[in-house]
Amino acid sequence: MTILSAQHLSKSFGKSKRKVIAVDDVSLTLERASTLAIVGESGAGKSTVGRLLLRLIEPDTGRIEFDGHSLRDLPPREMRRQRRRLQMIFQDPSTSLDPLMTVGQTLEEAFRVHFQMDRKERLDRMHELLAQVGLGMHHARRRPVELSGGQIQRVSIARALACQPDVLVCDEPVSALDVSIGAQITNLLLELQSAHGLSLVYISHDLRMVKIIADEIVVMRGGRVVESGNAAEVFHDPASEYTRELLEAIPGNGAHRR
Amino acid sequence: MSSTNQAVKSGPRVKAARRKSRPRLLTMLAAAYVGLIVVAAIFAPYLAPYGPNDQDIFNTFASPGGAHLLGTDEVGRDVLSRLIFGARISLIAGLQGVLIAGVFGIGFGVVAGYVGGKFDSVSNTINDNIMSLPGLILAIAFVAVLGPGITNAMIAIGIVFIPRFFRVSRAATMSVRELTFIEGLRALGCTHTRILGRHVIPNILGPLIVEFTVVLSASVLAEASLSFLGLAAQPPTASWGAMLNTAQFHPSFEHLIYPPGIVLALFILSLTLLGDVFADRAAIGRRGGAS
Amino acid sequence: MTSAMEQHGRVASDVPVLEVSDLSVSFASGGEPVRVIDSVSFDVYPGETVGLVGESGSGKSVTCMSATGLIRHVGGRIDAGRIMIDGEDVTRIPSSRWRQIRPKIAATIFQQPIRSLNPAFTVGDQIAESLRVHDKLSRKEAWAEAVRLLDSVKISHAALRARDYPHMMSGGMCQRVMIAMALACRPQLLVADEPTTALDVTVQKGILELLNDLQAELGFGVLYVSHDLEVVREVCDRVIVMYAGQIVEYGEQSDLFEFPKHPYTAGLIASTPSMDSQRHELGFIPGTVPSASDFPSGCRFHPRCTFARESMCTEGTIDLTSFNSSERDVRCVRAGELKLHGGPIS
Repeated sequence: MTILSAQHLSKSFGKSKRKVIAVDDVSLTLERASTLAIVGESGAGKSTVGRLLLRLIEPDTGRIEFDGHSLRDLPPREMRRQRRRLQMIFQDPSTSLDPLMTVGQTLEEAFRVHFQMDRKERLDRMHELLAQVGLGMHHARRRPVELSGGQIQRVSIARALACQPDVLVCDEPVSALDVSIGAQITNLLLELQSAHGLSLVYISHDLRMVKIIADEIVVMRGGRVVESGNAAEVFHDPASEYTRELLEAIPGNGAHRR
Repeated sequence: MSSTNQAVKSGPRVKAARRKSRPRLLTMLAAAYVGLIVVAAIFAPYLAPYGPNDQDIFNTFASPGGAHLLGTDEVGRDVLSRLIFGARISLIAGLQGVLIAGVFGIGFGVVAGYVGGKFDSVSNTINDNIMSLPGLILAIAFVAVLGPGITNAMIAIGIVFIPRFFRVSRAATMSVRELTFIEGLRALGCTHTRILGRHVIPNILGPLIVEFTVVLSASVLAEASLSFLGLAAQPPTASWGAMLNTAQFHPSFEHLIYPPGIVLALFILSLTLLGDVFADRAAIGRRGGAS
Repeated sequence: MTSAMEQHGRVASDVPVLEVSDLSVSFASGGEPVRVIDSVSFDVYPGETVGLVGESGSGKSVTCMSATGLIRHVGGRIDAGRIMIDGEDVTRIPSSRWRQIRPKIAATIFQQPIRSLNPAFTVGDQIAESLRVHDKLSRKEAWAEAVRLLDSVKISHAALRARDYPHMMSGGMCQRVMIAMALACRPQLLVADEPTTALDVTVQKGILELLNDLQAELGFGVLYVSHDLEVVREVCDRVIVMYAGQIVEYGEQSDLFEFPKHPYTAGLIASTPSMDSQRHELGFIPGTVPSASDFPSGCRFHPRCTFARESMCTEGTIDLTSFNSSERDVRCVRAGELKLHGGPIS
């Protein structure tokens, strides 16, 4: 069952001579409770696509369908309401959270926007969310500058979860983290997916990480979709030359030099 | 040390408690002086031995000492009392200037920086044009049209300082706007107003506070200059600048020149010094805030 | 060691390019000095690549910077130990001497190469400058050599490209320029600190191949720092695993990855996805790397180790010892008894 789909999305920046086509006629589908990975090298347009899906950037052309209705037709107020169901976590922990707000205040912001809760309900929910991402209430008093990269990502996930979303777009969530911390976060995302039926859009340049978590995959290059389909099949037998090139370039995948 | 590692350190980047640096003696003196002036301004009626306009016709140009600690002026008014009430005038005038500049400058600057596009280009052009106007000339023009008076003069000065606040808030807003957490808040469903008020503005306070102190001292000096020219404070108003204005015509009576001159100079100096200190703290505090 | 190198046709030599013995370094940031690396010993022979892996806070960067005399510039102090480059003791030589000899003996290439290049000068000028100062070449000679170097790092149209400024070049090209600069004075040791981390995977492949070719041709030794185990497998002969300022495992690459003896090594391998991993199968190490001022007692890894035993792992000093044969060193009291999983053989 498709929860989110995009048809013929395009976006360019700049004017006339200095126009850059960041996304060119991109279409994709995300099934409920599954993971769609968008992969490509830098400049491929994958992060832009992620933002277009959530209308954080307005597409120039194209259609976005979420849970049956068109997202682009929604008026601003209704769109803000729908945003509860489409959340995003970002790559750089050092700028992901408001530096002046504590973890507790950040979570409360999420509550405030979408729910009416009294103080006790808020505290209980905060406790629950922090526990789900492996943190404790003592973290609620801290500010981002006192947290490690991995902890900040956990807080971002908790805030996204606070909205009880259907879809979570993850833009290179572990690229800036150490390997073992990244592995912790990836495992957390997988757990949460199976616990809550979350549908994930996972944007990454790391094909190895994508192999671990993706059901479906879209390969992008220069703003275009080069190949898409079932992840296992694409990895096993890529149809496009570029995908083949990417796979061969992965260290450990080509012939061992030593 | 780990700057060569792209991965973020796995430990907290800053320990919970931050070292507080002790203020230097000069800073404390400056703050004390500013405090003194503020107190004088607020409690003028209780502190001044005489009213600012109480004339003692038979005791004009009295030397300091006795009943009049700093002497009297050309119509027998007590210099010390006029100095104390002058603090009120100067401070209020300074605040008038900085408030007008701040409200409009920050208001437009933040919106221009956040919204971008046409609004930004148009505001920017208007701002550049205002900036090209020489302050004192503009004030003179205003006064010529609207008539002399402190409020009119300070409106002019306020307008002259709008561009400074505009530029600083626009630049700071633009840099904060780029940070990922703003996108996160939009994804959350926050309205733009909430983002601006609750998240952008608190994160740009650093440079704004610095600008505030700088413009305040410039504003006070502007009022004094304009009063000295007879354009702002009108007789018998006891602004320090106005006192210097009349004093210039009686150069042999030094007790009319030095008190207002020194008091004014020290006030500007102290405000400027404090502004510098805030600037330094804002730079250090960058670790804890977005700008 | 020699047999492994001979197998791959490398030049075998008795004198290591880099020999680090019992190196300990501390930092004194306002207060008590903190020991960040402890008794680190390893060597790099000509023609071989030694990998240095570990996460942030493990001490890899400190080790590299100490080896090339840069540590005191960032506030570090060598407390004990010895560093020998090509047989010469460089542990306590002054900065001025380092400046004279560094390009000829040890060069470093870093992450994000654009940051190491001066934006105000052409790349040709920057390479030539090093040659003029250290090899005393004339302007013309230095420029010609710079062009030749750019060509040797496979930059096409080198003569034209030499006139480019860094911002005109892609990340991959900048890294090639860095390599050219590093090798300009023909050092015997190249320290590569995460040189391809910020680059796309296809570009990375090119850089790694280039390094391999140059090494085969010129015979220098490489100390390759990376947090990406797969890259380390691809390029390294031997591997050093560091944790919390100490070496916890050290040995021949494929053997170490296939049969790790230290739980941290096994944990890193399990946490690293590879193309052979199965879906949803990703291990992880709980907890976080301790900071240098808070190292646990006993084995520094014990709070995060699933195999930690009370007393034997939590108290006293755990030494780095040879495991059975002399080819592997491990710092774990339970090394012999643990059954650890290694990485899949590609």
